[in-house]
Amino acid sequence: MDLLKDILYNTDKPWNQFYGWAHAGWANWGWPPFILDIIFQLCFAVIIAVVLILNALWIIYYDRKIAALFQIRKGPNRVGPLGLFQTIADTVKLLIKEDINPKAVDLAVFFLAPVFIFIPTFMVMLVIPFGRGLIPADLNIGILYVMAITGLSVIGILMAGWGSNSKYSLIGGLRSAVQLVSYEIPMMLVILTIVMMSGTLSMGGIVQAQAGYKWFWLPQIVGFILFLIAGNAEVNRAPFDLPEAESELVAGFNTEYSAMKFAFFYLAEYVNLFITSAIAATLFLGGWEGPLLPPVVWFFIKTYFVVTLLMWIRWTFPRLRVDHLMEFSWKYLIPIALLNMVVTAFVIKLV
Amino acid sequence: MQYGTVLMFLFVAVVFAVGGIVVNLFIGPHKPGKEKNTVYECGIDPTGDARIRYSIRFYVFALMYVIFAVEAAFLIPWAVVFKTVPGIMVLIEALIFIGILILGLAYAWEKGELKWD
Repeated sequence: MDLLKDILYNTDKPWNQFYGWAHAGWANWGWPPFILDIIFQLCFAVIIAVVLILNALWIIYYDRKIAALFQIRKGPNRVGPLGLFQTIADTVKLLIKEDINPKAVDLAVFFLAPVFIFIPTFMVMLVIPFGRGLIPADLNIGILYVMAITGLSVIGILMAGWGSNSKYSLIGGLRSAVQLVSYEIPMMLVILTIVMMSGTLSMGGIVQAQAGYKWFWLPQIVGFILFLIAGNAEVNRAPFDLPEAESELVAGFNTEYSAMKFAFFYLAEYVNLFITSAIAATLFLGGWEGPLLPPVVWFFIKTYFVVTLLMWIRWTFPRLRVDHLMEFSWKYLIPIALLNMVVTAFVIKLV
Repeated sequence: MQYGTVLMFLFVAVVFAVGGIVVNLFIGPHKPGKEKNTVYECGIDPTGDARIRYSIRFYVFALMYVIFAVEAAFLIPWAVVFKTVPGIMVLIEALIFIGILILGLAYAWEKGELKWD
């Protein structure tokens, strides 16, 4: 019973015990210890892959149900109870569809683009603190790693746009890239402000800095709103869904993609939604901290709270025009974020 | 231990993505056709190449992004030690740095580079 409680609430302790025990046993066999570490790392990666898939299956279903709720219709309700297996059916369908490669495409770039888009989304999961001690690797440069890795997905989008050799793909890819880089700057400035307040880059450290319910959303309410707006733009969702504005660009940079390649774009989009919400929950809502329930549960409650908020925004506002979109970031968000940073610096030093 | 996990994640991500696409190649049907293998352009035959000249604005914004990204990279070490360094100098120095940056942004704004036309 104690062990179960430790695993749920205080994962560090049983894990360190198990780690020490495994290493002692391994030493008895006389093999070098780094091989065991590599096995553990592989296990982490596979576990995170499974979590990512299950979570993506759920979040797609959740998104469609919420969308249905907002539009007063039923949403998926045929496959399985309440339509719960709809996403699985879609995945299987995409897996057995024909993979069409148009003649004009640049095959290498065309093939690598979904891979390049998927890799950053998966690698960011490395530093998401799911619970106390439940983090694949608490890198001391955590949030910097997040910024660096998410920046890489722009390359995948540009590759998809350029490699497809279709006019819609090219314009969609370029728009998407310029939107991503523009909204990354206010996001970075807000993250810098949080780093200033917590004095550490590690994700675990940022959660620790908010311990005792001193969550950052209240002192950083401006930063929180900026982060939500910029995050919504980063995941290409309405009102910032210019890259896949279906009325003008068909489907944006993934117009030419089919079957599993398309599935990876789709998967990356929803995983990005989850990651942005998870980072917002970690930076502003105290991560896994909360009363009674286990930390993991609190983490998912907070993350899905932000996910729901983003969906609400998505179904409330109409799409922006492309010039308004760019000006909104450069003329409003970035000056406000800089100002927010300066004010925070003054408050920290002088108060 | 920790940074090894980054490499392992990269490895699993590549295997996962490439594996998914390759499995799809094997179990999916393969029936290419002349019409099917053209790129989409509202149902008619595509005219010319898609790699045409596009707006210079994309480059301008990419350039501005590089400036701000480098600025953020410079500010990160400052932000980490900001609370622990005593004295007011740490604030003034950063204010000068951010001030120069805001001047640059104001200049670009004044020049009309932030406008998308």
